[in-house]
This record gives sequence, structure tokens and C-alpha cells, in this order.
Amino acid sequence: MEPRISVRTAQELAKGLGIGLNALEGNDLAQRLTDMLSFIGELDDVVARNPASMMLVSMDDWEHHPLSEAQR
Amino acid sequence: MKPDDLCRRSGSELANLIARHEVSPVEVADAYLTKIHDVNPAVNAFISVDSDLVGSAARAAEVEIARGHLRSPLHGLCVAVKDNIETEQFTTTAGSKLLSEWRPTSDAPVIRRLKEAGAIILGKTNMHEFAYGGTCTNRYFGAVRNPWDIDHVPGGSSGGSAVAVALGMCSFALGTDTAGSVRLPAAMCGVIGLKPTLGRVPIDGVIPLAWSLDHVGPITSCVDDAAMVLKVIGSRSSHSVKGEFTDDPRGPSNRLDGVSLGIPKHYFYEPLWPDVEKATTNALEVLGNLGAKLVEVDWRSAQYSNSITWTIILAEAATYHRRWLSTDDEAYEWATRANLEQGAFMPATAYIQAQRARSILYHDVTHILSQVDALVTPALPITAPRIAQETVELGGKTRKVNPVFIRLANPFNVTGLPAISVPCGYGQHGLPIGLQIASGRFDDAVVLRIARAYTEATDWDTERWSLHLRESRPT
Repeated sequence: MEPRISVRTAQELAKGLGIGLNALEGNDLAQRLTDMLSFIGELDDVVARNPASMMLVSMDDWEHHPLSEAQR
Repeated sequence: MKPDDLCRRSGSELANLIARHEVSPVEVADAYLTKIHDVNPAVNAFISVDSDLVGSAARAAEVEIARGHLRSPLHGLCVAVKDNIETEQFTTTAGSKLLSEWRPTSDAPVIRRLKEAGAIILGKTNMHEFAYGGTCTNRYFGAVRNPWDIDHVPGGSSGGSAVAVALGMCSFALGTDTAGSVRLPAAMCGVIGLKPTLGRVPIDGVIPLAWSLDHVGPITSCVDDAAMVLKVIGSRSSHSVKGEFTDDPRGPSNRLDGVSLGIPKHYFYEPLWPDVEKATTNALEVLGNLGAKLVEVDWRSAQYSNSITWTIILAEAATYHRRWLSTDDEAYEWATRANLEQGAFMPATAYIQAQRARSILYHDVTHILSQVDALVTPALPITAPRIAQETVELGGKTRKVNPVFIRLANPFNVTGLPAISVPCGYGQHGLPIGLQIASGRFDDAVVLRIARAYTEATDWDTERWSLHLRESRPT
């Protein structure tokens, strides 16, 4: 996937968020942020399938979640 | 018995010999120390081994067993421990320069359980730095090498543990698995790797990659050994709803009559390297011949597992390393530092979406597992690439190695379900191929039972002794 974020935008974002960069720079930084946008887009898609889904912090939560009861 | 013969015995076989006083723990420990001296320089599986400590523990075990006090089947066996699990008698480096001198003040609970059961900590194994990758091309401690071809990676991040088992340098090993890091090196080195159900084995005292996905699991030379170790390190007994299975994988027979196996073709079987596809197809035929009913199932949401996994790992790892990244960033390898810097950009909302999405995948697969006993897939779509190789060709595309490694394994970290990799054949360059078997929450015994039936019906898990022919190859 081609970077959807320009190098300059990526660098400004890092500066704005106060993220010190020593390893990442240039196209690699832009590419990685583009990959993250792709992940985030997929997550929005899957969660949209089940708007009632909650953030569950343990397997016990999952077991007793209302969604689980509904599916049973 | 000759030392080399002892090294070729499984943990279960050695346990029987020790219980019958036919072999002493000192003989076993000495055999491993000699083996490590002879073969470890070629593969770099260990970061630390302390022969004095091992000898002392082995002599103590020998005396105790001679007096008739056998603590457990693990008493007198020697375990190789991944170096991100805290041990008070050894440094715990997590494969990093940053922690190269760090010695914890106490053992992780999983280590305490092993010691209480009488197991002897043989040493700490090499790994991908902070478990943040699957190749074990560790620059500070040196790359771990695949014993089947030392120009190839062993997989990771628990690569040293898998290599130690494959070459008979220990009775069994411990690894950690956040996105496949027990199962993948096991698959690439031709041994058994079990990721138990999330919550079954404590992860306290493990230097995390990502707390909510991390698991501790055994890497062993046979399925019985994996069951034997799990009984000791697991904190909860299985409460399988499928009553015919027990914690002991040795059923009345190794037939799988009445067992239904789900084959999730979508995502898990596309694309694969041809040799992996062929080996997996053959394995399914073996399972069918054992009496299992093969049912095609569709776990569509598994395709989101990579996005969920990366989002969570990027965010949680960046959180854990936040302080060191600002004070000691030069101590990290470039690739680790780049991943941690990337993680600092991850929005909290995306992390929460990923945790929400996990529940959807869990409920989808739980629904499937209400209709079948287990799922069977390849452990990974390729065989071990060469050291320093960054991309592979798969399905007509050039892809980065790490995402390809983990794509078939991480759905079971995301959902927390038990999964095992067992050897099922050989591909390019004679490199091993792994078959993955997964089942429902706390149905670890189901996984073990099916894995045992498969490995008893095949001999892929014993082929590794041909590796002794290659030990003298130069590095």
C-alpha cells in the first residue's frame, strides 16, 4: 500500500504529539502511519458489525458478556 | 545408557526411567550439558547456562529421589527457559542489551511451580529482542539458527527454546506466545509447541510484549510431554464440556471416531506455499483416516485478526517501554525501536476498538466450536526463511516476513483459545512444516488428544534425530 500520509505531515504529527523519533524517519514513518490507518479502518469495520460490543478486559468478561448470552 | 541416547529421549520417557531408578538426574543433566557444549555454538540457542547450578540441583534431586520422594514426573528433568521469564538464579535479559545484567529478585510463578515439581532450570534461551518479532535475528546475543538449515531462522520469538528441544539440549522448554511465538518456532524447528488457554498459565513475572495477548506455554518433543508440563504449570483444571476428553491425552485408543474437526478454508488456507498446502492436505487425510469427521467451516472475522493484533501490540509494547524509550533508546535494536516509536502514534480509541473487536472474533469462533470439536489449520503459510530475509513471495505478492509468520497463529491469541503446533511434513530445503490444532476455551485436553492421535499415526516428530548428521556444520 502506497503511503497516504506525506513525510512532512508525519513529521509534524510526531512533533505535535511530542514523540521523539530516532529510528523512524521519512518514507518509513509515512508508510507505518499509513499501515496504522489501514488497521484502524478495519477495526472500525468489524466493530460496526456489532455496535453493542464492549471493551472486555478479561476472558471472564467475555464469558458473561450480553452478546455471548444473546448468541447462546 | 549413553549420554547421547538420554538426549534423544522424550521428557516422559526420562521421567519413567528416573522413577524406576534406571537413570539418575545427574546423568540426565550431564548429558544435556555435554550436548549444549557440543552443539550450541552452531545454533546459539542459549544465552546463559550455569553448569554448577545445574549440577547442584541435579545432585539434590538424585538424593531426594533415592530416598523415595519423587515430587512429580518432572522431578529431575531439565528445562530450558525463554529469557523473558524471571529467574532469580539467572539473568533475565529478554534478549536485550538493556537488561543484559539484570537478575530478578524472585522467580516467576511458572518457574516456582516447575521448581516445586522438581524440575531443574538448565539455562535461559535466546530470543527475539523483547519478543518483538519472529526471526530471532538477535544482534546483541547473536542470531539463533534453525537446526534443519543453519542459514535459516528458527522462528520466534521463542526460537532458542524450540532449537534446544529440537537438538535434545533439554528435556523440555518454556516459551511465550503473544501472536504465535511458541507455535511458530515449534513449527519451523519440527517440535511440539502448545499455547494454552489464556488465563490457564500465569504470566506474572514475564517481561511483557503485550499483556492482554501474552501466554506462557511448553515446547516439547512429544505431545505427552506438553500435557505433562501443562499439568504442573497450569493453574486451572480443564472443565471440558466434551466429557470424553480428559487431561491425559492418552485415551483408550488413538482413534478419533466421533470427533469433528472444522476446516476454516477462508483466510487460514489462502494463500499457502504449495509444500505447506500439500503437507496440510495430507495431514487432514490422516486425521480423517483416524475416524475424525472433517467439516468445512467459515470463520470470516478471523481476517481482522492481524489488524487487532498489531494495534494491541503496538500500543501495549509502546506503553511498557515508554520510559526506557526516552532514557535508553540507543540500547534497543533498530527494528525494535522503530516499532516502539510507531506504537507511540497509536490512538487510544484504536486500541479500544481492537479490544472490542476481540469479543466479536471470540463469539464467532465460539459459535463455530459449538458445532465442531476443534479447528485444524496450517501453523504458518510458509517454511522458515533465510536469516536476514525481510520479505517472502506468497500468493503472488511480496510480503513482509513477520506479518506472514503470525497471520494464522494470532487468531488464537486474540480469542485466547488453546492451540498447538505439531510437525506434519517437510518443505523447501527440507525445512519442517507445522499443523495447528485449536479448540474451545479451557479445552486444552481436546487439543492434546487430537494432537497425540495425529503424531502417533505419523513419524514427523521423530525425524529430527537426523539433525545429528548436521551438527558439525560451521556457523
